[in-house]
Amino acid sequence: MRPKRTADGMQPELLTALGLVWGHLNAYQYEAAFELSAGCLQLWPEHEKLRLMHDLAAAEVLEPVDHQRLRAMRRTDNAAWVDLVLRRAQYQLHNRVQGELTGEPQ
Amino acid sequence: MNARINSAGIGRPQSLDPAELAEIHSVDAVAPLQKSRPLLSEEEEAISLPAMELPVDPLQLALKQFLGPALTSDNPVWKGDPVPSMRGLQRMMVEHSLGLAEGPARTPMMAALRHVEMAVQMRLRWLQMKRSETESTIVEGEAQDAPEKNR
Repeated sequence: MRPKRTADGMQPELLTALGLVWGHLNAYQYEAAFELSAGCLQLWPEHEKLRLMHDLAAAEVLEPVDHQRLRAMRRTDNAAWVDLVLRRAQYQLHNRVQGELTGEPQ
Repeated sequence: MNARINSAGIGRPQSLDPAELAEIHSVDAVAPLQKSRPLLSEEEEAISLPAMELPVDPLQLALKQFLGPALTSDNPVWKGDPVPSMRGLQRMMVEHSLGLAEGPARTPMMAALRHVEMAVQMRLRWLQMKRSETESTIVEGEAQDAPEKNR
């Protein structure tokens, strides 16, 4: 069965998936965004916007983010977004290190 | 269950037969046509209330700029009746899961599936609310038009 496609050639299911993930991110529901986008990435592993939304959610829920891959996929049209994800990941990492330092005094 | 909600045409502007308009005694019984702001004509824009001031988060702004309106606020998933496409997404997820080995390999997909299911449940409740709203208005209007019948 061939999937129906919308006017811009996108599968309606993919459009739905992207809209749902965006909705979670926009409502600060990072845990839900992370889990939902992880599942959707199994269906569309090559989709860049889905991947980048997943990366932001991962940074927010303290899951590992692949900095090398992010830097490699950085282009002018997605630079702002990639930088944002890298900044968030850096910030969360910093917080975690700070927490470990104060939690375990030498 | 889905088909019944679809056929009610909730979320789409109601088309009125001109012949039916003659039967309506009070104008406010006619449901106003809802339009989003970018769709308003210049005259409509001029007589509208100022846009609701929501705090704009720089993160939300960056997200929307990156994704574009077609994927975000204009996405059919946030307008009209998105349940069929969500069910389609769930079907794809289930089909994919069945191709995986049983056990932990399926866990992430099952978690994603639960989130879509929750979204579907919430939309169905919301559609029911809209439906009840339209239905109850009709009943109220009838009661106002013919109060003597109730006595």
